[in-house]
Amino acid sequence: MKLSEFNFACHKRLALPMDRGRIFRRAFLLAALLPSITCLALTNDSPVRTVHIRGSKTFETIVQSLAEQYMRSRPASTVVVSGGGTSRGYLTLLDKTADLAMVSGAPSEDTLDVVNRSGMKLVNVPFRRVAMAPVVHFSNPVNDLSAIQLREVFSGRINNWKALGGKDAPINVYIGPPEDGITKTWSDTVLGGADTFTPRAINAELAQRIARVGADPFGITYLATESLKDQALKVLSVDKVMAGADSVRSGRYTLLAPLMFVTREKPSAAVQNFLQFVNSLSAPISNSVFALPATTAASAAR
Amino acid sequence: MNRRYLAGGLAAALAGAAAYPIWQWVQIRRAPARQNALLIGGASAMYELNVALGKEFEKQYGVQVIVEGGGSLQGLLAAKRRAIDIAAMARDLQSTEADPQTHNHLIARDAIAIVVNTQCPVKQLRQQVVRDVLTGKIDNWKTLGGPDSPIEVVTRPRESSTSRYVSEVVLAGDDLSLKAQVRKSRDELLAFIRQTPNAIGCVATDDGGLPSDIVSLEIDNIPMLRETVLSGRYPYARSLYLLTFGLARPQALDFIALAESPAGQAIVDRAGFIPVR
Repeated sequence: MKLSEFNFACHKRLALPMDRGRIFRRAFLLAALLPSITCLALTNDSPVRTVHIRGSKTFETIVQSLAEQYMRSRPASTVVVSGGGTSRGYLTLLDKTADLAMVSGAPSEDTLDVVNRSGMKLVNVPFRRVAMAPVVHFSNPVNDLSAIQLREVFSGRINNWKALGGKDAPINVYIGPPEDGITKTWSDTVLGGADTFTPRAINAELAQRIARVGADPFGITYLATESLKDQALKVLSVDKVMAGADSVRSGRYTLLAPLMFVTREKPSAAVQNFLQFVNSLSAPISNSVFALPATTAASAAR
Repeated sequence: MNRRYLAGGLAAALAGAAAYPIWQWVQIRRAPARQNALLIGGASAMYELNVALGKEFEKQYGVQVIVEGGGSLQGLLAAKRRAIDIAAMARDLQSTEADPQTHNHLIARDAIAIVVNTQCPVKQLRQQVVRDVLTGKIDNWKTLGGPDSPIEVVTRPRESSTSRYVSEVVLAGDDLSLKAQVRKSRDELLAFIRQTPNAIGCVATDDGGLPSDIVSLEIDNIPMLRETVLSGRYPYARSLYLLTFGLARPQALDFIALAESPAGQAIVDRAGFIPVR
């Protein structure tokens, strides 16, 4: 009722013939006000609502579903997720092309160097731990490797399947690039500090590695069980324990990789809101049964 | 006497105030255009967008912007050789290309909807099937669980950025069916879909989405929504980046800041892409 009255009043006033002075005065006022209004609009707008996330491909599918849930619950918000790998995630925090990194391991040595030289402080926010597993061609007769055998295979000291109860054929080791988070974590846990990957290992990105081991009867590689979909690969058990929900939860399966968010020392309000939302989800977000909640910050921090 | 000085001083001040913007304008025009100009090269899909951003940049900063196409990889190589200021890239960096010196700023997402008439009983397709339909390998709706009627593929002209995107991402290099109908504009294509129950086509979508009387198919069970495009889950979407290498010139950083600002994101929206801020 009141609103319509108001509208009516406005109409009336607009309909009145205006004298020239009044028009000029109005135009002047408008011209003076416009820049300041646009300035205001420019300064306190978008950065608050936007979160750009980059990093690990292993972690990407989980974060994608988190981002969609977040945007659905807050329609004005914008969360953009891109891959690029764990190392890229760390680097985008340094050059500020992203607000939040998703990583599946510590930075590679080269990346750590760049982080240290930048003088910027990065903060880990542990999210989940996922199982990593060795995988081979589905026709491979070998079903299980011990932790020690794994170390010998990936360092190259055992280089024939015969030594592991398989056929008399050379072992083709496929590994990811050093910037890859899972590769770094696999190398840290399976090879330890003293060993390195065999120099004869074939270096390829995740999708290619999966395709090549799927086509190579004598190939072996590793991946986060998150990345397993419907590929024709055989997952090996380690020390007679198969990666699975129960074995991970009970602590019998120990080849685990951390999934972490990493922020700059002073994250934006938008980043803090998003991380709060992630923490508030009580239900397991990942459809993977192998994910375990991160226990303490210390377990994941460097 | 006193008054005359005052009037003279006032006139001089007025003349000075009037001359200042003219003098400034002359300075901008006189600056060696080549040296001062901002050079942007790379993905042809981003050419029109960069030209539009460049116009706004010239208006705000008085710096000339020269935009060229040539492809994402060529742009990246030119930026790394410092032949250009900014590379426009319509794809993610590969791990071999991504070093600490390379800074890629995400400014937009580019998504394609696969659209059909509201009467079409098919509501979702797998990526491989979309490819087979567009190449003409599958040419009847019956194969896809629909009625026994031929599939009419409708497309934008070959040189449109939508068609380029379709051949690069959706068809992955395969050729489009020779029987495909061609419609010049997005609106004409949508009109054809509206009138033809057995048609299927590809359109770019900006933030405004699609008209309500057009159905966009789910791809691999993922609907095309703002959320699924920004999260990166919808398969027919790609990221558009402005990339700098090493220490960039201040003008280049100003240009990127403009592209990321609300004004720049409005230009992104008008160019038919999805804003990311």
